Amino acid sequence: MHNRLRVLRAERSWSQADLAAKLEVSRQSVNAIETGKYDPSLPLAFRIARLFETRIEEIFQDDA
Amino acid sequence: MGWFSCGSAAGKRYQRTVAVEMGAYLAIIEGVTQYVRHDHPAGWVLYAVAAAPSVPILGVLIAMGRYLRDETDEYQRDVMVRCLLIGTAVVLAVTAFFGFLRSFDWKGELPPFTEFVLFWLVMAGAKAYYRFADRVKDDA
Repeated sequence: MHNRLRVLRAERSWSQADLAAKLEVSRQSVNAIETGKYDPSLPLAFRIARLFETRIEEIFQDDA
Repeated sequence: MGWFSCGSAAGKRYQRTVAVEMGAYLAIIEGVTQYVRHDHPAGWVLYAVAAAPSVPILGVLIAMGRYLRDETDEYQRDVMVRCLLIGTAVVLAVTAFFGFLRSFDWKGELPPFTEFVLFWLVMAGAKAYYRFADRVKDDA
């Protein structure tokens, strides 16, 4: 699965630390998701989508 | 063993608990070692004395379980589980290896607590690896 988290974050001029604070997760978590090392759970994916005011599938795309 | 902490409330609570438990462990080890050397207990007293250092070890394992239950950062929780699995896998592989050696009439013996020490060292190494792999630049 790949995602547009880095792009969406950059559009808002947020650092990884800013996004981590808004999501109440660690900066390592944001980095791991952005680099594709970790796929977030559905609840966290919904939180991310709500934060960026978009749909989950606009952020995360299945490679299949 | 504070290398598990990620700065969250659960991580800090885990670190505090582990520090207290390890302090208790060292104090108990020192106390029971002196006691056994001087008084040479036997029977149920010896069993009780041998069991005493296991109590803080159990406390650390319970603290680890609480951390996994209370940590709200799912990635940090995932890293902890991966480290636990790596530690368990290495210990099982090493003990299986020595088990086979013994079954082939090898007469050697592992020092006491080898499994426990190995488990924590491997977990520390795994955690250090994830810390290194997950490092991020300040301006990221």
